[in-house]
Amino acid sequence: MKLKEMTIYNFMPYKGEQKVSFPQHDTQNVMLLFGDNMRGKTSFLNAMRWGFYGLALGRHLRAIPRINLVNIEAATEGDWSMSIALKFSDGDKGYELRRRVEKKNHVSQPKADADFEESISLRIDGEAKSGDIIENHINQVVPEEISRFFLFDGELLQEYENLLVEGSEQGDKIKKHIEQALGVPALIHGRDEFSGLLKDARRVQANDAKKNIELKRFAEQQNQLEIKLTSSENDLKDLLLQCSDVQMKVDDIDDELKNTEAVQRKKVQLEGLSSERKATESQLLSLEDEQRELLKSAWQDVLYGGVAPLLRDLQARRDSLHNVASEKAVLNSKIQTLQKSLDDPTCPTCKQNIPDENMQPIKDQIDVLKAEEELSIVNPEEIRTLNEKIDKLSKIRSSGEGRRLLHNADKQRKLQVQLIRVDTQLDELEEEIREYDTDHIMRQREKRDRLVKQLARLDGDIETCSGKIGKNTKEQDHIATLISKSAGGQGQKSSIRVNLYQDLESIFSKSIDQLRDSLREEVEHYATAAFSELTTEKTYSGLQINQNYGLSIVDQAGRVLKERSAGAEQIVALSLIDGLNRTARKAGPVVMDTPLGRLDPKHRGNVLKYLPNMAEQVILLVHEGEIDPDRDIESFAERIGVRYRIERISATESRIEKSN
Amino acid sequence: MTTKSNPLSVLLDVRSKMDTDVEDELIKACYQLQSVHQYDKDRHTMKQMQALVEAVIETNEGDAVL
Repeated sequence: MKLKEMTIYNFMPYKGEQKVSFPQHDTQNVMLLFGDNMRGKTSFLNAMRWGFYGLALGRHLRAIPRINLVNIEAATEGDWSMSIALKFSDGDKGYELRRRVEKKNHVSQPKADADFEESISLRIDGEAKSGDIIENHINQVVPEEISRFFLFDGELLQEYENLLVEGSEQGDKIKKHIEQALGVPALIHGRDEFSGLLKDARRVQANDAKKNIELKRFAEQQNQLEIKLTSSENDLKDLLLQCSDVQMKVDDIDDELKNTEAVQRKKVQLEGLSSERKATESQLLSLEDEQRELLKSAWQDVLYGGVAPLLRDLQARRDSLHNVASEKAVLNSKIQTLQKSLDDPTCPTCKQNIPDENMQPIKDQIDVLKAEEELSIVNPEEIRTLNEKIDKLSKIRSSGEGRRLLHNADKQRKLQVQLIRVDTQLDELEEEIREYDTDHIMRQREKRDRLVKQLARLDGDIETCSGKIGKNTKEQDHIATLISKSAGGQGQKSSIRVNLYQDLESIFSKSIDQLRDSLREEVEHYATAAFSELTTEKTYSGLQINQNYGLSIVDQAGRVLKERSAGAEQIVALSLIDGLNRTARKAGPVVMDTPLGRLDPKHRGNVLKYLPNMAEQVILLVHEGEIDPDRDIESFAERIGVRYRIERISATESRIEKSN
Repeated sequence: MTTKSNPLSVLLDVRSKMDTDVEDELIKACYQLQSVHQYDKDRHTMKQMQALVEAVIETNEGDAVL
């Protein structure tokens, strides 16, 4: 399929009629549409999607209501009509598709989708096709199921990471889309239809068996199993419905929470600041208590400065008096000893009399010692007074209260400044989220958690129910085989039919698994080839695919990289898209909205060099932050067929202009 | 797309490894039908699939009578 031209009328920001021609050249196959954020790049992608499928997608791949698709300026002027006309070719056939909605005549102000009338027309090689088969014609050329791989939003490339998460809801959805792109549905539908036909055939066989006495017992068993199967199938249907209902609720809450993410972050910040405030206040209270305690004895610290030298002097004086008293006692003792020698001049050791000539020096020494002793005056009253003074002054002690009080005051000042800062931030945050019901947001988060748990329970129930169905079907197959092989059933048309459907169902069923394995191998091969061109890290040995088509990077030593950056994620996702496009049976153009957002200049250069080879036509919807018109285009300028730019007319109106 | 990942080739390969009387032609016809309508919004292929199988049963029955 090759796009030729798209004519937009009053679609989203595009007021009035605007025409875009797509490149037709084999090598100059790239179209660039530059546009700043909010100008209408995604709306352009949606215009194409709506033209083909009557569906424009918003977040979570939800349909955007018609009322939001009609250009608001045109609607204000009373023009509630909107249309997209697409010209394209497939093989040698030319297609002209036009989809249009307009307000119903009796409606003055549309409020819902039902207030609009939709019409669609298709001409193939100029021949008009009737309305009821138009969608089938479109699906033959550009199946809606595979559209996410040729009309894709670069911002959603990160979703492909979910393919690596076993059991991820998002991953399962993408896997389903991948298999649709790869042609697996033909086999799945075949298996499912044979399964339905087999069920009918078994019923007929059981009815036939009832007529045979020998087989009556089998027929009865088969009927019982049939009843059980129908009941289990209904249970499964209910569970799947419940699951999808709960998932929708989760998606709704996610949408709501996404819109209030900033508020939630601020609420968390607010809670953090409130805790910080409490802690600061409690610290301040402790410091105030400590301050009060210190002040009780702080006067001592003040006096201590003056008392300490005085006390030291008094203690020195007392020590000196003590020394004098001690010396006086020593002198007294010496005098008494010498006096004894005078009174009794006998040597205490040899008991001989001391000669008189030796007595005079003793008398002289006693005189000297007495003179000394008389000079050593000790007043015990003075010592007592000193002791009393010292005792009193010693009670004035310092525990560094003054220094500690200063330190405490410093701490208090810092905490008070911190408190003011926290209070200011709290005021600002409270002001910012004043209009939001943050309690409601928190309740929604809790509700989401509950719903996710419910989903997990439902998944478990679905698995159990599916298991029951599988077991039941096996038993039915076994009984059908017993009937077919029995004398009464052999050769019966109903048994032949059952055998044939069993075999066909089995062939289609086994083929699905085999086909999936082969497709995964092929996607891995092509994606690895693309990855080696796109990555700047040339030591990586390639990509490894898992059961869900999720791709992991493998390093030189064959190890799977556990963590990868957002940029690497985008490169891997682009490689997967390329692998799918090359493996898919329906090739077509590729329209990419903001595909280079997370890439560094080197990766961007690699991608830009590679993109023109990804498909017959490559339509890139980019902003100048992604592709610098002066710097980046040089490397693939020869591949650019046409360039457009989205010009802002007003906040609600944009115009697509051809640029050089 | 290689033969290994061509759905019809896979179907015929699986069939060849099974002990079955199902003919290749029937598988081809069934796959062709599903392939053409695999992306249809409202598929009504079940009756056509049934008709293909019934035709084979009738033919085999006729052959057996002859």
